[in-house]
Order: sequence, then structure tokens, then C-alpha cells
Amino acid sequence: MKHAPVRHRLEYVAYRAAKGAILAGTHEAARRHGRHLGRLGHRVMAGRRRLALDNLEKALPELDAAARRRVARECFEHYGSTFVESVSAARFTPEEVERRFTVHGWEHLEAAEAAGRGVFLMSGHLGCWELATYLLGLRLGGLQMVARPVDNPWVDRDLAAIRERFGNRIIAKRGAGHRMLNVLRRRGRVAIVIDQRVHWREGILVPFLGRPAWTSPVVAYLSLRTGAPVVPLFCFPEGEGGYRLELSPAVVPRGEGEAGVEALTGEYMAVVGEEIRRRPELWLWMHRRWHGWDRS
Amino acid sequence: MSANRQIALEVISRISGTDPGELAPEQDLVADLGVDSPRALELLVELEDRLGVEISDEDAAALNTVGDILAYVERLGER
Repeated sequence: MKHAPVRHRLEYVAYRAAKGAILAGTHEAARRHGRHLGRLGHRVMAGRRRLALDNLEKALPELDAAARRRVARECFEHYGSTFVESVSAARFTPEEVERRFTVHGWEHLEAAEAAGRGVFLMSGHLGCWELATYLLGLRLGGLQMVARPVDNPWVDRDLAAIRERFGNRIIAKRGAGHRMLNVLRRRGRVAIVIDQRVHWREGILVPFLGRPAWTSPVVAYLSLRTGAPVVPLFCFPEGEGGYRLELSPAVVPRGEGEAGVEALTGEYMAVVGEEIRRRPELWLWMHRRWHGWDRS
Repeated sequence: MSANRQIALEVISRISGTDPGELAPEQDLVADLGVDSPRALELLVELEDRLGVEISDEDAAALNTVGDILAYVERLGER
């Protein structure tokens, strides 16, 4: 630690102070304050705001300018609250997790698991995807989650400890593919968000909200390889401090080879895209999701 | 040359698009041969298929160079 850059140390001090303040209040207050933080971000992060508006215009052309501005502002507010709530949720006991969540479609996960091939739990950067893993880990006895470490190693260690509650374990992104394969071989569950842009060298182009987007083919490859179904699930804020978890029928692997991988990946993105259209204010519009689409 | 070694060289060659004669033990799969994450997964899976083994997480994490892979498959052949 003594060799950590000064910036990391300062960031960690700030993070610990913020975490203390968050945990000193209620979880409901954390959500409210998080939204205020997001609103501030919307005002000061002009570049990200313009990016969100540009993405909205291209993806949801049916929205007029006023609606796009509203959605952009609300998505910043939502991401502010998501970040603060993720830290605040460190206080959740198992009983509180169950109390705060309503679950719909659990039978789809049970049906997928009955296949005995392991299962993917697939979501996007929509709603409260991180908090969903608490409820899932609690009910399933733990799952494996693919996650990218935060740049600050000290903050990352703290966030990892929060994420790895309730039996969950993080699969580091580096070398994640083969680790996921071994989890599925043991009939395990792998949670993954699939809507992030990947480098063009590592992805394939599939349609996403009306435009080609570089997307990882690994989930489809492994699903075809192992027979593991992919269960879409999405978690949304509900009420003042609650959450609604919605699971959908699994996408069952079919097809083969590169064509099969491309078709399945496209299907996953269509599922995520449909959920985004239903609740656009809860998605990460300020991300360069479609960067490099014209490179192949 | 052992059968396992031959298989490993074939797999690395096919995945990386590098002629077997140009492969060297010190070459890093990513930095030198340009094997990205999806292709690295494919490489491990093909090795497993052709050698009839399942590679553990610990062993997979250590397979970073051509030499690492060749040494690994040779050890398999000695078991």
C-alpha cells in the first residue's frame, strides 16, 4: 500500500468518508441523495450529457427533444442513486434483502436449472443489476459474477467485499471465459451483464437498439458449448427503498459455429434492448456503446 | 516430438494464425501472437477437446506463453 499513488490514497479517503456518511443514514435517504448526486453530474458532465442525448436520438428516434432531455437527466439521477445504493446495501442482512425485494418469474430460473447444464444469469447496465446479485446469491447459495475491477485497488477491495456477500464470488474479467466454462461444467451459475462495448478485436457486430454494436460472443459460445441456458433478468427500483426483480424465460442454445454464436448474441441484445425501451431512463446512455461500429 | 506437443503447436498455430515454424517458447499469447480473450478461450477449449482433459482454473491462469502451454501438455503426457 505504501507504494500506491497519492491519487489512490486520496480517493480511498474520500470513498471511506462518503461510505461512512451513507451508512449513517437510511437506505431510503441514500437513494434520495444518490439522485441528487446524479443530478449534479448531469449539470457538470457536459460531454457525457451530450453523449447521452446523441445516443438517445439515434436509438430512440421516436422521442422528441424534450423527452430525450428528460430521459438523459433521469438516467444520470438513476446512476447516481445506483452507485450510492450499492455502497449503502453493504448494511443489508439476509432478512432485509428478502424484505426489500419482490420477485417475478422465478420459475423461469428453476426451469433453466432443471436442464442440469449450469445457467447464465444475464442482465444489462439497466436498473439495479448489482443489487440483484444479493437476492440471487441468498436464494441460490451463491453465484459467480464477472466483474471488472475498479481502478483504485483499495476501493476495489472494499467493493469486492460488498459484492462477495451471500456466497457470491467474483470472476475477474481477465481469463473469465475459461473460468465461466468450469463453473458451468459444475452446474454452477454465472451472472453477467452483456451490454458493454468490447474492443473490436474481441467482439462481433450485432444489432443493438437499431445500430451495429461490438459485443462479446463469449456467452453465446459457452452456452452452445455447454448447453447452459441464458436466463434474462432485470432489477428495478421500486418504492422508496425496494426492488423488483423480473426473470424471463431462458434463451436456449441452438445453432452451431460462428453463425450460431452470432444469432444467439443478437438475441441476447434484442432482449436487453427491449427492456431498455420499456424503461430508458434506467440505462447507461452516457456510455460509448456504439463506438467503432464502422470498423470490421 | 511427442503427440501432445504436436497437438499443442497445431492448436496455437491455428488460433493465432501463426505458422508452426514461427512459434517460439518465449512468445506471449496476447502480446506477441495477438490472441484476444475469445480466441484464448477457444484455444483452451480446443486443447481440452484434443487432449481429452479439463484444464483447471489454476492451470489455465498459468498458460500465458507458448512455452507454458508446451510444458503443460508435456506434463500431461507424463501422467
